[in-house]
Amino acid sequence: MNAYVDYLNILINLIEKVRDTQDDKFDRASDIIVNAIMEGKMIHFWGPGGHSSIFAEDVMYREGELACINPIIDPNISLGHGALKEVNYFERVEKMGKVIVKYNRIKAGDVMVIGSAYGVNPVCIQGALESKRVGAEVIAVTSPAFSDALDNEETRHANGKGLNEIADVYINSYSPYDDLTMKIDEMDQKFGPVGTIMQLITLKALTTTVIKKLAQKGIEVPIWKNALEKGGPEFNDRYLDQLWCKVKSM
Amino acid sequence: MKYILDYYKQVAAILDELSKQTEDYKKAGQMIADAVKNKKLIHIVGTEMHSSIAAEEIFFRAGSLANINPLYDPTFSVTHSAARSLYLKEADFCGQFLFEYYRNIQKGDLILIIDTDGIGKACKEMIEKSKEMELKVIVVTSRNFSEAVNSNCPYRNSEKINLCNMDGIDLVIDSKVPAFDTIIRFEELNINSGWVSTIANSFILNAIILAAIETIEKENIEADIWDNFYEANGLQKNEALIDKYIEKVKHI
Repeated sequence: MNAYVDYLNILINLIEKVRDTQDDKFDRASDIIVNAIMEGKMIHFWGPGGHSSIFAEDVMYREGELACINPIIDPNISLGHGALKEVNYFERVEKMGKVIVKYNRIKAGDVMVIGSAYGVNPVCIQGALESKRVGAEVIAVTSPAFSDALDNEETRHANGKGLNEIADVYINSYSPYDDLTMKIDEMDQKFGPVGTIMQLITLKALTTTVIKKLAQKGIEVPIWKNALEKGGPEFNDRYLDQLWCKVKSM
Repeated sequence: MKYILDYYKQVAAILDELSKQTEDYKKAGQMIADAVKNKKLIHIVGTEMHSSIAAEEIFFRAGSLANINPLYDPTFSVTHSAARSLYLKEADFCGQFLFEYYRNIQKGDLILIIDTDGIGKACKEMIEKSKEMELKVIVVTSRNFSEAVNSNCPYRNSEKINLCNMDGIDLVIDSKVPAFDTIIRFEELNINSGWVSTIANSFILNAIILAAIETIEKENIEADIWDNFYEANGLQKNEALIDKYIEKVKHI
């Protein structure tokens, strides 16, 4: 069989697993976000890690996504300013987690949605702890299969915890341990990473749930329009006037 | 040592010349003090490569004003890769689009535009946008430099106009930087070295800020000025200013 068929079948299975097992988690997480939006609180989306930062980029200024959010894309904790620098070095600077929470002015009553498939690095764990300390609710999209199994002190927070153990609610993205899904006889190394896809699919499932719940409450849902279409940028101005300076990565 | 001494003497001579432009600094200082009095932001941008350093000189610094909003961007910045900044000098719209991106620029604000060679596209677009938005405009540029650049230089704006000659600028301050920014000649190697622009721009910006604070003091204007970042008291005051400006100034 062609590799693409195997790979896509594996993904389909993982997606079905998310769909069929996380019902209560999606419900609780979306309720928390919906309530916070109705109270005028800020919803932060953060992917504290190298490829994890795509989590925040994906919902940033995007047609059909929520406009009342702060996607955090930090230059130290993302791939865009030096991938190696992030992965091998800066995501291990524990203090950075606290700084990012402080700099982004995360407040009591806000919601911090943290997406990290691995859910172990010191910045991620410290950021989650600090968000809770300031009184924000923490929702995680993560895969305990990884954080439960990883045995490497150097890449973990000193407390050894996984993101799923800290979050108020976590949704399992079912990224498998080591992120890889394909193994063939012709080579030793496994391949076919799925972490980013599973994280984003789980994130999308959450934001669509939030949007539908808001709409069903009769609220005019703040959603971006397509900036490439006529009238799009002008429509988006209503949100940008409020958010442009507050959302530092905008 | 010969070259160092020579460099020092020539830099000192340029600073001496700059120190005589007191009327310009007073005027700029008054414009800044007025912006502070009217609760306006003061924007600053260095619109090409090493000129962008000047926009960093007076931002987020003890003794400077907290209502300064720099326009920082990889387009102009050596720190985000020098060669691409060089190549982008030939691109249209970078100045205009960057200006439009900064949504906190409001009618009646003050903008300082620093561009040493004074020939380019981005800086010209910034000045044109500033006029359109009825901003007050101060330009720091070198007449010597812009006049010395060949008229066919690809970095020149299409009208081949030097910034110092553009309409609608409230105040042009000449940075007196010699052509191509170098003052020391190595004959045998056939190269020039020893730059002046960063020092000249920094002197001018310091002079402007000092003149502004002098006016603020004299006219008893309420101003937000950064305190010492190394001492507990100062840090506490500065933290309150960060809170005040973090949703007004993009790069705080």
